[in-house]
Parts: sequence; C-alpha cells; structure tokens
Amino acid sequence: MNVDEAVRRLAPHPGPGLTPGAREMLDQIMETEAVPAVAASGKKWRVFAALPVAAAVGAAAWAVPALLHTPPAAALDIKERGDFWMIEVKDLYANAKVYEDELKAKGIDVILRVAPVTPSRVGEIMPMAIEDQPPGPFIYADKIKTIDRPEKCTWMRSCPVGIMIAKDFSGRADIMLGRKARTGENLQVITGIDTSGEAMHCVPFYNKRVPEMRALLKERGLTVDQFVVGEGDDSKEVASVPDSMYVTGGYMTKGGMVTMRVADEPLPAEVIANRNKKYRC
Amino acid sequence: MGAADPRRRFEELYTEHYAAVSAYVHRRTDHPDDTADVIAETFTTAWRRLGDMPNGDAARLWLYGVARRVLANHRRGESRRTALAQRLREELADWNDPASRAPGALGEAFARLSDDDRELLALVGWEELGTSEIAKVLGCSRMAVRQRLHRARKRLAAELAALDEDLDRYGVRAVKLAKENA
Repeated sequence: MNVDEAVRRLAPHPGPGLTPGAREMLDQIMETEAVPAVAASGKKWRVFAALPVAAAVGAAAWAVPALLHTPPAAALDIKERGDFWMIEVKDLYANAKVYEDELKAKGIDVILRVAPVTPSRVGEIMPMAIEDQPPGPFIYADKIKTIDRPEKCTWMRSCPVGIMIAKDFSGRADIMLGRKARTGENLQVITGIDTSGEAMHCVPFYNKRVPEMRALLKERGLTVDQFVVGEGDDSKEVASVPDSMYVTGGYMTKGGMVTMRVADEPLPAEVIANRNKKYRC
Repeated sequence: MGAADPRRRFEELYTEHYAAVSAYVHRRTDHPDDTADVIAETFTTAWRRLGDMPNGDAARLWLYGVARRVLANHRRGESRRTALAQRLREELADWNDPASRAPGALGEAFARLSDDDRELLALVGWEELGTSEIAKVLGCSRMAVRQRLHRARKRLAAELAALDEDLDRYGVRAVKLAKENA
C-alpha cells in the first residue's frame, strides 16, 4: 500500500447518489432560475431566485413604518479601520435604500438586499458570489471580509454580523442581509425547525402527536401554517389533520409559522437516533 | 439554441455527473444541511453558466471546480441557505452513512495536513484524478500540481513518521519521502 492508496482508504462514503430529492431539485433549478441565455447577459447573482414575486412588494411595505420611526443614520455603523470600511448593521428593519444611500455617501458601491430569514440567519450579512466568477476562491476574498460573531454558530460556518470592504475595492459587491420575518411573511430561506439555531433544535418532538406538538410550538411563539402528509411525489399539503397523527419533522416557511410533516406511523427509533446525531443533539 | 436545448443539455449533464459531484461534496461536509446547500448552489451555478460548461468528462472536472469554490465560500459563511434543496436536505438527514473506518494514525496524520495538501491528496485518492485532471480542477499547470502533490505526499509521510507509524506498510516510496523530509 502506497501513500495514495492509504489516503484512498480514508475516503468517506460518497453518499446516496441521485436520489428522488436530487431529481426534484433538477426541475426546481430550471423552474426557478432564468434560462442561461438570460443569465449570460452579465446580470448579477440572483439572490431572490427562490423568493415569490410578491416578496419585493412586501419588502417595500414593511420598510415604510421603519422609515417613519428610524433615523436613516442609525441603519448602519460605518467606520474606517486602516485600509477597510467596517460596516455593522444597527437597524435590521431600515429601508434597503437607506443602507444604500449611507454606503454611497461613503463612496461604497454596494447592492444591499434585505431578506426575511429564519431565526438562525437573522442579522447575518453575506457577500454573494458573482455570476461570472471563474471556478476558484471567492475573487474578492481579499477585499470583502466578514466580521464574525466570536462564537461559531454551527460547525460548518461562521456567523457574520458585519462586513469589511477595502477602500480601494473597485468592483460591485452584492450583499444579502438576513432580517427577522414578520408573522406570516414568506421566508426566502426555508430551514428545518430541528436544525441548529432554530426553535426546535434538540427539542424531542419527533413522534409527538399533533396536539402535543402544537403546545410545544406555542411555548416558543410559533403556530402551524400547514401540514404535509406523505412522502415525495405522494405528499400533499393540507390545512388540518387528525390529532392522532405523528409529527415526523417540519420546517419554517413563514415568519413564526411552521409547516409540519406528519404521518400515520411513528418514525423508527434508528431514524430519530440518526437525526439527533446529524444535528448534534 | 432554443429554450428547450439548454434544458435538455443541463438535464443530461446533471444526471450524468450528479453522483460524482454529490460524492465530492458529501466527503467534504459533515452536516446534511451543508451538503444539500453546496450541491444545490453548485448545480444552480452550473445552470446559470451552462454556456461555459465543457462537454464530456471535462464537465465533471469543471463541476468539481465550481463545487470547490462554493464549498470554500460556504465555509466562510459567504453563501446562502437555499429553498431549492428541502427534500434533498431531508433525504440526507435520514441517510445513514455506513460506519466509517477507524482512522487510526493514518487519519490523524491526514488531519494534520493543511487544507490544500488534504485537497490535493483527496482529489487523487477519493476522486481518483490524475495530474492533468487536477490541474483543470484547480486552474493551475500540471507541473505545479506535480510539485505540490510531491510535497503533500512528503508531508503526509513525515506526519506518519512523526506518529511512529511503520512506514514500511506504505511502501518504499513513503519511506523515501519521509527521509527527504527529515
């Protein structure tokens, strides 16, 4: 056995391959994204690809009361730090234009987008990749940096709460800022309720009956938006289900509202054990 | 090219290369949400840049390059949770990885290497790529890959030696590499 063969023996499992969910994603990508001929025109990364059309209207609507009560200067805290601008978000509910105006006043050419996200992503600010970026490292990695929370919020990623942009940065940055969703507002990002940073992370709710689950959600200020019964192509969304059904999972699709997965049969113990292991509970 | 043609081409490329790309990502992530997000973003980028994607097996190498960049951005917190991959996320959460091998000294030595060294050695050992293929994934010359690979193998042999691992198990070449490093 040589060194390369030894490394080969360390290879983690390649995973389940082309699953039904992967096939479903193929259709979703082609449905939600413009055909490549449109994208090839030099348009920037479409941050809101998965967002319903109404979201843009919604973003404008929530911004109006914020403008009435929040001095624009309070939206961002922009300071000079050596060769960088250090930008921290002070008002998550300010109008997107307020951010842009403040940035432009400093000569920072940035597209700032604000999106309703799940609790674990609120307050994050993320520089997005740029469409014509070639394979390889993030091309502005030396010019745009994030200011992270001191603690890691999950294993894989840091949790940026601000951004540093080099004063000599000459490109256009496209930044997404996560804000708290209003109750019932459609989220851009759908996240499992049991994932890290979400309300039901490490809460033992699997196989609870529906009324018990409602109570658990209520304790956390959440309500049920709808139920999903069945799996895969046979699944359907319904407004109500019998109280006898078991909760098998759920995800946030609207502010403060959960889409709950339910089934007639409880989840096997090994599935629950596996999920707890994967979610580090 | 009509609207149907890019869809057909993308569907063919996706079906042909999904397993390889998802394996690449799966082996380098530790959480089903991250795996699903990186796969989704890789193929979404591929769809947007379909015109840039080469044909045949070169498409797989091109996709590895995109996945590598997406993964790097993801690790820096510079990418997004996507709504596209909800079902995939659930499948991966329920997927039961076969028991991993006890890594022992070899795994420990591998873990001590830099990210760049590990990636090079993994592209050889896990994706089974040759020098010219790795050069395409990384966007550098074959000569550069050969030199960096040699150094990475040497450093792994040195780490094994430092752990008092019996290098004879890894062949004469490993002993020689470790001696070069000494």
